[in-house]
Amino acid sequence: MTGACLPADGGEEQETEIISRVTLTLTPANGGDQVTVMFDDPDGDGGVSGMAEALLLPAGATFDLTVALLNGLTDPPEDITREVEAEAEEHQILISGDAVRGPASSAADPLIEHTYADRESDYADDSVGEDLPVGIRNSVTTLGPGSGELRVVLRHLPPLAGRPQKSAQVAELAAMGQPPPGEVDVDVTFELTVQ
Amino acid sequence: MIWAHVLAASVIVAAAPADGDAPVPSPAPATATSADARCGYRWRASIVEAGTDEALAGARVVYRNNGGVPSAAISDAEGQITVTDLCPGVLQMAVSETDHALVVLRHVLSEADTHDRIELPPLHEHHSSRVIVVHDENRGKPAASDAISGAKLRRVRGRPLADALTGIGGVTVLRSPAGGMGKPIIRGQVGGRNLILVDGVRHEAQQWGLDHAPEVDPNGAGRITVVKGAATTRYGQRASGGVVLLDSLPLLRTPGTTGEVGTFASSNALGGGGNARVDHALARVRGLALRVEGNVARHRAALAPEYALANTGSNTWNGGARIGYLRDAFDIDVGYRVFGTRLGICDCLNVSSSEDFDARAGARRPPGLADAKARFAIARAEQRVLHHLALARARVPLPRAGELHALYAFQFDDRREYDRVRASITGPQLRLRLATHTGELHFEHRSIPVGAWSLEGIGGVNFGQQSNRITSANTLIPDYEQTSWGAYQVERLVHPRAELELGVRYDGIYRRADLRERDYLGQSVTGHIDEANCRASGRGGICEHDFHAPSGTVAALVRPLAKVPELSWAIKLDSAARTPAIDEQFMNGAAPSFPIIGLGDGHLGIERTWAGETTARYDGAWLNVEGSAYASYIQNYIAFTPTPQEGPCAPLTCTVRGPFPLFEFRATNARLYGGELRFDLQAPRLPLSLSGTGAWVRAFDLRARGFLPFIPADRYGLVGRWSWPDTRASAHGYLELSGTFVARQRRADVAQDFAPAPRSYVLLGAAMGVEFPGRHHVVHTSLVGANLLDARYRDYTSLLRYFADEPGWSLQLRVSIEFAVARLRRD
Repeated sequence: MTGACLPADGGEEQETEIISRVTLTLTPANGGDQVTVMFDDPDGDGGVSGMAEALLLPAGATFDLTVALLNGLTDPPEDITREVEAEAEEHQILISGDAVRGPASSAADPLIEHTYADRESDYADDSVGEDLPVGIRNSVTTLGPGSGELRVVLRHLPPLAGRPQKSAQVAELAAMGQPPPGEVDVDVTFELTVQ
Repeated sequence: MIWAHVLAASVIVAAAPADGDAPVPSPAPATATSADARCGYRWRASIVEAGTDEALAGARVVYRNNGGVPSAAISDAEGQITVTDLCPGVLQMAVSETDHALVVLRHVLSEADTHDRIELPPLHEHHSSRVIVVHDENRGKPAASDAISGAKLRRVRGRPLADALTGIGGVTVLRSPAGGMGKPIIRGQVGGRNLILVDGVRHEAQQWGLDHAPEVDPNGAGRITVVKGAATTRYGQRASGGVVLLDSLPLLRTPGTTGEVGTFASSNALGGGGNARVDHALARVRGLALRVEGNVARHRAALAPEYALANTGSNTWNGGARIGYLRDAFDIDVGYRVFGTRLGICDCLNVSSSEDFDARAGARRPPGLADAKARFAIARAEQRVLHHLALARARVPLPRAGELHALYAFQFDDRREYDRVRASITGPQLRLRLATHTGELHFEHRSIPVGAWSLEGIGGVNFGQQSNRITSANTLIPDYEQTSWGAYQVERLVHPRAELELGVRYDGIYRRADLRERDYLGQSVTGHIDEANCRASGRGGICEHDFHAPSGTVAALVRPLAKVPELSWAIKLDSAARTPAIDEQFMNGAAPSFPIIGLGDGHLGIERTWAGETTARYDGAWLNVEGSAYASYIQNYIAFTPTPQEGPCAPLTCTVRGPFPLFEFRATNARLYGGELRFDLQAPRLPLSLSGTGAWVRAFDLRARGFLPFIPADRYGLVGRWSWPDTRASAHGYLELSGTFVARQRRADVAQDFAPAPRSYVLLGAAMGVEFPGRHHVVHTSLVGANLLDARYRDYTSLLRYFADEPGWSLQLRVSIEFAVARLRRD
């Protein structure tokens, strides 16, 4: 009787921005086999813990690192990377951890050196004019051997009170261990071994 | 002979003595003498309840002879009143009694001795003279309860329900960060352990979310009663902690038109609104009565002393209509009401990860709010709710047997929650739709004499059917269908010096939860599904649970001293059952507002409360004191407890937004005890009064050997009032100063909380008000100031406390006109 009052499930668009899988693809700059690792949480915000694969890289090599974001909870899965690209001026990926030195990290004894390899204008209009990095495409160079943590954070930085939150300081703040503005869309950590 | 300009509702002078708002001239005994003793005219009246003709003792008559100084008289045990030494000419009168609407009379005295019959319309629902209202919780009952009505209720117009109740000892607010709303905490119990009844209909909404304030409009109520402590026997499921009853003013029983139009404005949160109600009873079709009512309010984001609580604006609106056919042989009425609200959730609570939360929790200023402006516009995150209620009621007196009452209601709760998301997303992230049918049939048998005692009683059955649909890409709680029923009988033996009450109830509930595949598999893997009652289905899994449980009450009230009937002592013992709520069984996801993952447990069973309470009360002419103490032991108390995890993020659980703490609903045993103390002191022959309240609650988790969370800290209040004398134009003027002290909650487990309990605080308030009675109307005005010292404080039971301060000082101005256009009826 009451069921008749309610539209059937799925009759309405479910609008979300869930990300359940983060994939790092590392392509050697000088040719060779790709290395792919992912963090996957197949039940989303459920009680089952998500798991990250371990990342193993050779020392003294340079890689193109791309970050892919996927919502695997819908059928078919939804590619969230495209959506982040479309709103590049409101998003930034920060690569940090005790194994990383780069714009967002100042590890004392780094295993890899990170640099951004993209700009907002690569994906969408740069209306603010700063043309800041986004972090979907990066360059990574492995240094000496060892193991440590590589942390990938996607911050959502929508304008606040009409002013853009995304600025060149976002990565700097993170590098100084200060909380950057905006919200966390992704915060996953991979065990990294360089040998 | 009746010369009545009926003002239905407690109006003008002498309104509701229970409010403590009545600076009337000191009432004389049943025979009063006018100041001008020269003329020798006499006026007598019998005061009775309209419809039942029951004599009303203790009714107050404030009268003015030819525009002179007002005097007052009070009716005797037979409802008789006599005023002597009047002069010929105009006699204006306002007749009031606590549970009845005020009647204003204008009489031209032309004979030396006049006798009138005055009928006061009851504020409670109509009853035949053969039955005594068993469920009127308002006074003289073994259960501790408190009510606000009349002028006191008018002073909280425009405020959300939970705030309207905070003047009652033992009631506090669990404040949500959404638009300043909150849910009531009654003696430390909140949410699923409290029941809200609107015109007798169980309010059914998404009670499980900590930040889901009840979708109830207190402005439509004529009286709000809070029953403190377990009342499951009479009210059923969810009444194990307390009950809030909101009762509309009854429809008009005599031909005429009455109503109220009001407006209010507030400085913080800046905003205001208006309300209107019109009641009409037709003269041509005797018994046909109509009501139309509505209100709107809009508020900007609130201001804490040092910054704006950005995005806490709110828009609310309500509308409703009722039509009734009220006769002596039967009453029937149908009504519809809709409550709409849009609430912004404070930007300060914009937390997306555990790390984010830690950075914000406890900060003096919320990061990112430094330049925030208070705006009327509401942005994400926000909640939008529509709550529809349609009801039909009937009352049929049965000759020599009693009275039968029937009620049917349909409610539809439509809640949409919007998170801060990418700009391309326009819809809600969570939509919850709950449809509920409820039906109740109860019979109040006539009073049966048993020697010097009389036996009164009420028995009934109730039925409910509920269907919940959730639209969200994340799992949180599953869709479900639920059928519930209950049967009860409460009998009372009443003697002038004592009352005994015995009640029993049996409840059943059947719930069928429909879990999606991901939800079902996830919960199965982690062992949270009760496999014995669940099975895999095409979409995921179906879980069916059946709960049955009895509840019972034994209570007594005695007036131990024959010479001091004002003194009473009550004791009450309860055993109350509560079935686990949907979230307690099946929650699986990030809990709203907090960076935690919450998990239900399908194995949870009935939570049983064993409660005892005692209340001593003295209702004297100038002193009113009430003290209550209570204790309860709750078996299988369902508590939301942190659970350490193993794995890469131990002791937390890994999510794509970083490690989150995991909380589970677990059964433990709990002990709660506490007390309340209240006094009202009216200085004899002086226009000064002083009242004070104190409330204490202690709550322990016996298995974890710790404290239960979100238990209100010790709270004390003191109000001093000066009532200035009535003048030709004004009545009921008062000026009051109030102070509230809330201690620090030292009984909180720091390890199980995200931040230490906030410091103690003192709030200073002030209020003034006056009424301007006219011939067919009364203008009520009040100005209320809150937190006048602009104290910076945080409250232990506010979800805002982790992130930001509570709002600073504010002023609220209210003006309303209550009017009556009545036909003269001559008997």
